[in-house]
Amino acid sequence: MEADRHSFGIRPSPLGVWTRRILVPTPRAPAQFRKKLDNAKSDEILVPQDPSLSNPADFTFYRESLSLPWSVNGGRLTVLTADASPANRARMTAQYGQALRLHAVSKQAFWNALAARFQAHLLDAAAQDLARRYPEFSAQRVITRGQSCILIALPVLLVLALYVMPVAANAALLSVLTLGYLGNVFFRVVLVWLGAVPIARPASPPCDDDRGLPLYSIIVPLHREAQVVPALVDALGALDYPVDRLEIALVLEADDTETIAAVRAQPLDDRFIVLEVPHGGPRTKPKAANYALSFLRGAFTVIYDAEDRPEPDQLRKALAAFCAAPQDVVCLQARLNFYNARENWLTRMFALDYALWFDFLLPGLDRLGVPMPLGGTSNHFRTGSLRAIAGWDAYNVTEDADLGIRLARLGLRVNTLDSTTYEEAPVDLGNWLRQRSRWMKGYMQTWLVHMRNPARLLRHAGVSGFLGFQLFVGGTFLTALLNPLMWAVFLYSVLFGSVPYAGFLSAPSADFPLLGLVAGNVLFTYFAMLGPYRRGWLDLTPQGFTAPFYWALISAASYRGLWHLFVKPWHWEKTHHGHSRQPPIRAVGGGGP
Amino acid sequence: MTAHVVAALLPAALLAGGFLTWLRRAGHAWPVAAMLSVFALSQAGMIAAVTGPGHSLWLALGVGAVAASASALAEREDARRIILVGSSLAAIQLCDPMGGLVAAGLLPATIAARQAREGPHKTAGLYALLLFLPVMAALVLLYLSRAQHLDLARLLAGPSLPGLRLDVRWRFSPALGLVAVLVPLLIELWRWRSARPALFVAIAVIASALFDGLAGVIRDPVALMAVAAPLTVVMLASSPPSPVHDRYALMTAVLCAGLSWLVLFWFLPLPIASF
Repeated sequence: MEADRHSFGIRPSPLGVWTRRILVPTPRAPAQFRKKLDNAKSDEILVPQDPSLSNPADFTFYRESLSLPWSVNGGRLTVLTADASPANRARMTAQYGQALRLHAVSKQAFWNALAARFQAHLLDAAAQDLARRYPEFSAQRVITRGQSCILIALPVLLVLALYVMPVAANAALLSVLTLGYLGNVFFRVVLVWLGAVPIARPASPPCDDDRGLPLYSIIVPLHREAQVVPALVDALGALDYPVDRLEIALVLEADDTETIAAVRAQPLDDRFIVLEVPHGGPRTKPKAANYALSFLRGAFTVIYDAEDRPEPDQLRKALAAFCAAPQDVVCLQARLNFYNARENWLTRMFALDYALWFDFLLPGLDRLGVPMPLGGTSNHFRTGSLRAIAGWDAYNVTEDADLGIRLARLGLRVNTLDSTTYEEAPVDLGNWLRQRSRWMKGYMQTWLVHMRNPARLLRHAGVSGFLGFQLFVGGTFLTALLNPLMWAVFLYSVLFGSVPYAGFLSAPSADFPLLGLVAGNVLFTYFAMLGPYRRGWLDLTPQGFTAPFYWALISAASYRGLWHLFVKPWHWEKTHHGHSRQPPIRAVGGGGP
Repeated sequence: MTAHVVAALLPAALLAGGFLTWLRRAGHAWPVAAMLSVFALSQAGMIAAVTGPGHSLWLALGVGAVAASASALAEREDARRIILVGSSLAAIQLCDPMGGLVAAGLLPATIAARQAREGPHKTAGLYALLLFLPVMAALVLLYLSRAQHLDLARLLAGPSLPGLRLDVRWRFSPALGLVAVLVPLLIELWRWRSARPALFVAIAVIASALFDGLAGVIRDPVALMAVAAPLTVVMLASSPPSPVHDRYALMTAVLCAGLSWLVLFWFLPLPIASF
């Protein structure tokens, strides 16, 4: 009985095909409405579904009205619904006609039925919608023929030039590298300076009446994360938002039995919807998020990771920010950091990295108005706009970064949100390396996607946006890839008293790149130390001295990411959570843990 | 000549703008701000820099930047002000390595001491943030002096005019001149906590001049006294506006200007061939 109470969804009948047995864990429809239903006696039905009664074109109506035409019996249409309120009943009558027989089920059972009916359609849309509607933005094709030609021709031409005219070629190569490197340094100096003071945004109108709040949807994709489920449910349950105005989709992979069992073991209330993504297409977080997006009804949607601890007032803050912002601001990026920041050296360095990124660099991009690569989780959207741009790219392994750039290219804006979500930093090197390799691979994917037609990117993003994209997205992985080479040159010069290319260049020209490297690294170290300042985590500041060792790890991850880009471009390397020895705590706002 | 003028005009313009901004923002009336700015800029070191190396102007600008950023940070702490203090302390090393080191040693203590209640780790973090850039600048200078044979002495405040009759007998004259000019104002403003960072910078400048004297380094008193002008302005701007403070500051600026011209003519070789 208890097992049945927690089982949700549709089980294929022994006879298969379209017969479904819908088990409803608990009666959810309000009692006063249920009494009025034609068949209020039972929440359990065993009737054949007639799939011809519903079609994908009307999916939006089914979702919004929480209704699904199920069968025709005695000339009357039986409609499965999770909302039998008079208003919705009138809506259904207008859509389906008068001869209507309602069968009230819980929301969960309704979503299960809807998912089962449109499974193939939804799965296909989750994986391919972007590729169909905006093929130029999809990473389904890793690299174009033109890009391949350029990437092959460049090194060949370089080698030839170094052979034919070594002095000029050396000078040109070093100039380009040095200018690129210094440009990246300068850009980050500007971003840190701009991001160092909070952005004053117009205040939003106060919302005294919770009944006026819109429905807010939360997407939480989970994959092999059974151990974090209880803490996740606790953290999401702590969000300060009216229960009846919140919709939380826990998105699971259909074959991830362990996590499914962990979710079933939780006493989930009406806010939660559990969605199982069937196998098919790339097994990535963005595909799961797209799948969930099809079901959600909220005017606003936020995506969280399984180990996230958002500050409880984050949804209200986001709503206030959306209300105060122009309509073209369709996304807000909350700040991220770690609740286990002080666990070991790696987590401390990661915390410095995140603090700099989310507390300085992204606000700097926001202030400059250049495209902002989103940061994985705690991205709040106007749901309609997210659907209009085909959601996330199921083939991009940093779908967040790509989405931020795509939004900018489509004339939409992203702002930062002054609220923090705390996550769990990987505590072991292997896990960290897998995550960082995926990020670097994703940045390369994103760069390749948006550089398929540089002229068009320039037209979409403007000069500052174009340059910002090159420096912030391209510069991130290129610097990481080049750093080991430049450090090798520096060490050579220290050991042997001159640079390896000294024979080709005169002394000041030969030393300039190294001076740039040293100055850049000094500044980057300083920024790493400055990162935790705004959070009041000054005790982490001295850790910044060790940043060069952390950059060495980032370089290693970048080379691994580059390799994976060629051998398994869409493979999503899973970051495992729940390994921290520090218990996940509930975020309380302010300075954080 | 043209290069000198151009090199001197930029810091002179920055100083003039800075003086007026600091004083007006601190609530001083236009006439006081304008008068003080004029006297502060009419010192021998500042004027002479237009015709000779503009070093004294850059030194004055650097010292003014350190004092102003430290005062701003003491008034309200934020990331930008921390960056400004760190980078101005780093920049001052290029104008005056000794003074920069003394300032870097003294100044963070006055700022970070307020953090002591938040625990030693956080205080250490603030120290690290304030000192990282100046220490790195010092290390770079040290490396350049050793490996690249950079003449650090040239980085010290060189003569404001070529051919000044500077010799070892006058090695304490810069420190004594600064003491004579600044000490009355220092005493008057010491009780105001908000003015303390600028006062510490003034003390650091005097201390570094003394250290130089003890080390036998001969510095141009005219060039060094030019730093008294921005210090006076910043000290005044970071203390509550009052007629008494205004009088002290004006007196300091006038005294400084008069003394600097006297000192210049004392050390000036005759005839003035280099003009």
